[in-house]
Amino acid sequence: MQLTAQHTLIFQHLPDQVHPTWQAVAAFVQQHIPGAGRSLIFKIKVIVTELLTNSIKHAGHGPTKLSLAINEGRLIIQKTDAGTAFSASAEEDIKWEWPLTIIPHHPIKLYADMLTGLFVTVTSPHSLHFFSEDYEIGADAPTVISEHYGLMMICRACDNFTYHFDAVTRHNIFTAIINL
Amino acid sequence: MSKLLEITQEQNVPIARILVQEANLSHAGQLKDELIAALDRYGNSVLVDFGGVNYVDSSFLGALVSSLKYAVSKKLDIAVLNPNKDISDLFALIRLDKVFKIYLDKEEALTKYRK
Repeated sequence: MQLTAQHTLIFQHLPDQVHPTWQAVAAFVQQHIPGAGRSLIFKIKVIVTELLTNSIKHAGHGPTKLSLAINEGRLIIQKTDAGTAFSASAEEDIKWEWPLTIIPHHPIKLYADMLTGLFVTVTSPHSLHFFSEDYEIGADAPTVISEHYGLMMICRACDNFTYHFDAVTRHNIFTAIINL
Repeated sequence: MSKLLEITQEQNVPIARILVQEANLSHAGQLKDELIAALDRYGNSVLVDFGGVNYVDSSFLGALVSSLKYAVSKKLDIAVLNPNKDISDLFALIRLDKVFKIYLDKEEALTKYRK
């Protein structure tokens, strides 16, 4: 498998470091993806900003590692931290104890409002795959609206968004892939 | 703590200009507090001017939605004024462009909200 470029950044969970870290990511992208358009840069900014913001909210001891790789026509953005393992309220009773011992064979709704829904499928005892749905709305303004958008933004800005729990290191690994 | 919003009135419509360029989770709670205070003080819908903002994160948008819910409970509104292309695209990405009225023309917004 040919790897054309890779880079790793360390993030210390400070809000005022989000923008400088993003600028370092942008410099990498512009160096290795000549002619990267505004649409691609926008998607990357959404993903990086929300991954880092997620770390500020949930990461525990130790810094967050942000890895970038360009590989076979894909940009892979991966965040690794040692914070609390993934959990979320869901409509059904899910025990987020990692590795998962019960594997639902249907998508799990994490949250939804009148506009969009965010779901995961459990792909292994250690892994989740995120996807979102749009809902039709009527002429009236929507009245039931979520206030939680971080994972939704990442999911909708990339082509593939996954979570992996490393049982050995107990690290959380979020991976967002954009097809170039 | 310095103010996050500079509020002026035009044609009796409060316009809340955001005073930071990168609006993120550090500012989310303050945004909600100051917007709710403006809604209560002026008793009118508020135009939030994003003209000086480069980018917003999910936490900031969540606080904006929370403030909108408060406004709606008072039969008022919060509208978005002068977002740049990235911020407009963010609203569209998570479909908040179906929730907020977004104006690039201040006069058009004032016509809508003046009492």
